[in-house]
Amino acid sequence: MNSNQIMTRTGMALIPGFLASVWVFGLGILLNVAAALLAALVLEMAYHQVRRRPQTQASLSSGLLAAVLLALCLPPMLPFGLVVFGVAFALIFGKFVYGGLGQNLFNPAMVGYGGLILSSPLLMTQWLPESGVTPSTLDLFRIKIGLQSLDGYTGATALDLLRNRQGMTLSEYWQLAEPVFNDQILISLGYLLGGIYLIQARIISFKLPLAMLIGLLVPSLFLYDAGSSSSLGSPWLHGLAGATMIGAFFIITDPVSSPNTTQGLWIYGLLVGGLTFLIRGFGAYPDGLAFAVLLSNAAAPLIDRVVQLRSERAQNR
Amino acid sequence: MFTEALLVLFTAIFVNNFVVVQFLGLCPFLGASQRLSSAAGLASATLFVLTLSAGAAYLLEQYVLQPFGLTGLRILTFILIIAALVQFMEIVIRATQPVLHQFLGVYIPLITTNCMVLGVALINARTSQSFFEALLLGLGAGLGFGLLLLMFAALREHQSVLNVPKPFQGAAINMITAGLIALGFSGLTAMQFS
Repeated sequence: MNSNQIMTRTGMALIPGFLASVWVFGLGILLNVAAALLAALVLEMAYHQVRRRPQTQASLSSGLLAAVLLALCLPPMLPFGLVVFGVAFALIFGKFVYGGLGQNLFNPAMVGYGGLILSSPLLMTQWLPESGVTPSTLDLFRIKIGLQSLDGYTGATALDLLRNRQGMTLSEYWQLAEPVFNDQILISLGYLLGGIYLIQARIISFKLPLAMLIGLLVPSLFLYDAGSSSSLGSPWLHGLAGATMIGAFFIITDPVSSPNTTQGLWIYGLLVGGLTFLIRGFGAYPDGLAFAVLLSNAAAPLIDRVVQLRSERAQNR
Repeated sequence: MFTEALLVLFTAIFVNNFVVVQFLGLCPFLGASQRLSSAAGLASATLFVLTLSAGAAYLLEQYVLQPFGLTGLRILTFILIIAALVQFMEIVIRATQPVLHQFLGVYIPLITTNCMVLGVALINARTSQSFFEALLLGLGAGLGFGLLLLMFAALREHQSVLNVPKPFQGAAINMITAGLIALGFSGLTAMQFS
């Protein structure tokens, strides 16, 4: 299977999660994905014009895949300008300056997400959690092109509640988070389905998703005390909320920015999961997956080197 | 006590990392990270100097400068301490590990001019509550610097085989990589454990 086919199938595996997102959050997600695809197409063509290299199918599809992954992590009401900015930041600083396909040190989609959440943290954390309160299509368009503010439509997600209250009691969970969280479960299950297909088709290995889920769920299991005021969320919440599932199966499994050694892969996955839990539980941002991935990308070459040095030493003995 | 010490260390290494959050010590971070092996040597040397100078600066501030009203001499005396420590360490390394000394060469005396060492000493002398905390902060700053230096050196070694476009080769791509590391670390800001 060549890299182009791999990326096409990865894109196909995103479909259940994507459909679930559109079902829950409405047309906004569809518009985000369309805008991101268009922006990525233009940027990829411009890049190959500037570098005077022939456009390859694989480079184009990797750029489009990164753009779709970014768009699926964005809130539905984000104005078009920011979606395009995110894609441009992702592809230029995540991919093009390192030399294009297969050369990136960091995951491009998460580079774009990081740039967006630092530059407009407020808009990036405004979701439409309950399927009932979606704005009319006309209002949605007005919001997306910046003619109307999105006050009155947005609400807190389950992870926002966890963040704002520094923990969540059981009654808070059932009263506030549960109705919001139910919608999210559907999306997460969609990505889980796609992920299982990818493992079945031998496109990704089970190691990275498993390691990340262990790194995230085991600490939350031990620090969860069945819902006191300082509870940090159950493994159920952490596993199915936010970007956990799309992250575990589609984002951290990027073969270019993850380590090459088997041991390194386990360490890397555990690191992403553990950092995500730390940022969700104690940090300033509701979901820490993007930062966890960027930090682990930065550590990946060092992890590889340490693993190699250790195995060399073991052989010399 | 033990958990508090761990939290001080964790905060100094990750949350308030001196390199990518407070932007101190960037010169050795960008200058001495071509190779992982030399970066490891410099990281351990800086760790030693940072820990001891942070502790010494705290003692000097508390027992000499403040009681006698000599706080205007802070920078002068701190630089003196740091230079003496670096000189002391160079003598020790030269005597005990000549190979490492040859390897690090000019980087050992250059630790004196690492703005992070003076920065940590100055911050420490004012904010630390006890000698133990001052030492811990110095240790955490040194570990954070070392971790970043090693991560960056490994990234740069990996980067040297990439097909980076001509205008971005060299310093430009290093700055972008450093910026993206800082982007990742910004996710750890304002972390609270209470």
